[in-house]
Amino acid sequence: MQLPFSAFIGAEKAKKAIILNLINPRIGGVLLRGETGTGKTTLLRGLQVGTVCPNQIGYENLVGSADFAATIKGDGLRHKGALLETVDGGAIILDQLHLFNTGVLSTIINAQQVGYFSVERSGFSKSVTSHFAILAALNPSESTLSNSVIDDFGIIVDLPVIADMHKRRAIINLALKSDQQLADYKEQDKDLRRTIEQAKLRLKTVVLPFPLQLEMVKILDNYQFSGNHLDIKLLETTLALAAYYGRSQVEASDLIEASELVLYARRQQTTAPESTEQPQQEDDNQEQQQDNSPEQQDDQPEQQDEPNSDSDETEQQQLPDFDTQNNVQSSDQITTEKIGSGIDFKIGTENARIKDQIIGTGKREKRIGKDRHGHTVFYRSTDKYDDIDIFGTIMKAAPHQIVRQQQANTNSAQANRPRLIIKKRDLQRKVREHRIGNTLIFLLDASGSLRANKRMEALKGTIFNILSEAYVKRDKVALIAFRDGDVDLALPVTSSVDLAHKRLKELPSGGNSPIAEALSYAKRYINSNQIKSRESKYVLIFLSDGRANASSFSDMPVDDAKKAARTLATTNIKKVFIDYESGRIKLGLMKQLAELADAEFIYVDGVSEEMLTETVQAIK
Amino acid sequence: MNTKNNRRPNFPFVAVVGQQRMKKALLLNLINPSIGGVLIRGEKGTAKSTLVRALAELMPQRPIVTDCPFGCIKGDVEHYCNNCKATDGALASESRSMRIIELPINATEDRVSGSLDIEAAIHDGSKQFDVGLLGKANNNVLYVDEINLLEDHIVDIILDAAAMGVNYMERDGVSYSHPARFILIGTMNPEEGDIRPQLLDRFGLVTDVTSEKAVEKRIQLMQRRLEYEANPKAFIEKYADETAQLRQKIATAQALSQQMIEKGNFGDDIISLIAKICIDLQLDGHRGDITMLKTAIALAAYAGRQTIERDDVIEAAQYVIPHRMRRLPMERGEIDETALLEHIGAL
Repeated sequence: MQLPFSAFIGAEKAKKAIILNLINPRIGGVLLRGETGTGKTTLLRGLQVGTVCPNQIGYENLVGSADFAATIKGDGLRHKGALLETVDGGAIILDQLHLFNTGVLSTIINAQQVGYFSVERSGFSKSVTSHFAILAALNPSESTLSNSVIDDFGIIVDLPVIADMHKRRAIINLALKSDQQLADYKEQDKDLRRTIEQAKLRLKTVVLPFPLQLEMVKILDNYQFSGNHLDIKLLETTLALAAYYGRSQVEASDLIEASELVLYARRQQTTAPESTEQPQQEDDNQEQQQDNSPEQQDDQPEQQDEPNSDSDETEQQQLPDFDTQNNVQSSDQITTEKIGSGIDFKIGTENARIKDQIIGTGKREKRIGKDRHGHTVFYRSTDKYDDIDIFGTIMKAAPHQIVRQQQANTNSAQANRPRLIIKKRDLQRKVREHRIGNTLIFLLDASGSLRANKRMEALKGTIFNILSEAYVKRDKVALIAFRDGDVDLALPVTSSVDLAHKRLKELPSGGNSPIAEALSYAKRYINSNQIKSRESKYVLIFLSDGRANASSFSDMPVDDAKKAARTLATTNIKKVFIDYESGRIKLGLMKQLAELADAEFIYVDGVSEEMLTETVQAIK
Repeated sequence: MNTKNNRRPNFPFVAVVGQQRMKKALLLNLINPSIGGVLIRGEKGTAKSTLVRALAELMPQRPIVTDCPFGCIKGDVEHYCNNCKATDGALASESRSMRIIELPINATEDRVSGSLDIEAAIHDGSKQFDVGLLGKANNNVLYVDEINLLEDHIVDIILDAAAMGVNYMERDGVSYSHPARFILIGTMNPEEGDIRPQLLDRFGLVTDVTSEKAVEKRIQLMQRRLEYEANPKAFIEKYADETAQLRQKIATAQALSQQMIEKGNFGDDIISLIAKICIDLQLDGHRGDITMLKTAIALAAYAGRQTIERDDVIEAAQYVIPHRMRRLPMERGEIDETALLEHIGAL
């Protein structure tokens, strides 16, 4: 049963963001981020506006294709079935955003921004106007989406993990005790839809007075991560808020509320999209706490609608401050933040869950038929009735129609009926574009020894070497580094040299070595990537001396590491363990781990860029 | 093929706040289409697409052969399509401005290179050629938004056509070739992956764009957006004069650039400066120096001059060099501009 929007208790910010985007799609979409059970789907679909877009959608259904029924009947080529056209005037719902193909997502987002889309497919050349809102959601622990895609969204809202599922259910049950109450909520939804319609009409008349324009630019100027795309998102959100409150002039309160919605949830995102595993948990790192605090505040539903009630000092500092510029930080600090914070894999109190995964409960195996992925780019002759390209087949058959019709007419009583005669030799199969390449996941032990820094540099060099050839070889790279109780996704899967340079500028090293956590993190990370891009071959390259000396699972770090290694044995990932253990006494732990994980084992006497690059080339 | 087109009119080029480098790179290509197009790299929201689409209002007029599907320019006999070549006597023509042909990333091969005209084939069994995007783009602009997301297969077709200036189509029982000479304009966000070196190499110019951060510019940007949204037509009208002036300026510069190239005397010091830059920075091949010269000429012409100055070369270098330098593994992808300027200045 679909829970009414109004029956959903809490998540006021998410609700507001959805309403505002429906009022003013130019805000550029709303993205809800939250773990399973945080109510993403209910929120997206609750109002019953919008069309759900399947995440495996291809271009044919997104921008439309030929209406072959019409073609065969003899009506000529007609365009049909463009999802982007049917959502005109409404909303498109993108649940599990991370499962969408990059090109498809980019097509949807661009169409939304410019108000039209172009089709150049299978006989069609067309430009179609369509104005719609985007309502999207993703689960951050499964997501491998790039920052730039996430950053395209007008408003990003993080949904709190309801620690106690019973509490959530109780709320819902309470809310829906009787049919009468359900009907009440549905009535409220109806009112809300009416309010949205009225606000839509008012939106065109909303005026932004000059002093507030100035304030808006000051806010943007104070905000570190802002580009001009945020100017527009903030502007449109502010206008929508005024319209929502029934005014035709923007007030200062609208501006404050809009910056809360547009800017402050983004701060966290810009630094690290993968960090939201447990956003509400206490963090023992002071710097990080400061960085995370606005988000943590926002995650408490009770406080959401009262931006001025916060007592936290850091929060105060980040509220729009019209007169001072104290909160502007130097760009150096930004860089350090980007690398050092946020991306951390908070493992502290999450042991139970991680343990499950070490044992390997094999969560979420949503694979769709393996054969036919990739976009159709063209068609070729075939004699098998498999993955047939109808357009290509008709194309092939077209020139023969007159002759075939004549033959058919002499042989058959069914003369003169307009139809298309297709023979087996006309058959064309789809030719799909695959981007097969290697995805190399480096797992680097950045702990302890004096040489950690040197190894880090060698690996960075290797990564740049690989990426500078990436567009030829279609390789992608990710780097997971672990040290001192932390596992960092230092570089998410990418083929961009640019991004690698930005993200790897500075990486910390030193401390102890939590190998068990690192291996299980790597396994999960690869799994979630495999769901999205099935074409790629994954290779895990693990660099360590094998000397596990920290674990949050038990006080037996080496045993835990072995357990974690064993779970890798059953995966279909290629694994290479590179051991650089040095010193007079060698424990040979890395070799044991490699055997348990069914990995290729390489021992090296010192790590260098040349050696690593060579090794990696050989692996591929 | 029907074309439903009731989009909002384009935001005027001259009303876009700031972004001088990007604007100039685009205009230089209108002044001399043989510069070889431009790749615009940068984050979202930097008006990349807006500016490219806005170019439509500034496009120069040319005498186009009437009813020629490939838009042959009358008099440019060397690049005529087969039909125009075969026509005896005078071809009728009409004055048309350049057009922007958009190639969306959803494009399939048949729409890019053209295909059999399926309707004609079904109805009268004739094998006619249905012009694709490359045919439409002949003597026009081919614009690919997010070019780094384009399928490899499609990139290959574009590369082949760009290299030869001709599109060959051999499929569905149709064999056809036609001129495909176009200005390639691409935009991309480098964080979403790089483009293939062969494709990068095709671009005459490259420019990186960033957001306009100055407070007064941001206010201007906001106000213009509000004004445009409120009444697009009135907004465009407001900038009509300025647009017309720029259009005129481009037309003048185009003529001037042509004259300079025909005359062919660019000054020894200019030529040797260009050579020095290319040798010193170890640019691959000869495309770099020729493009740098053409760009410098276009810059001089845009400034209304008949002679190239040293500063024109230095400005041209900033567009021509970045993607032609061999990338050193440990260095940032883009070159440091001040360092480059100092370096060139010292030559």
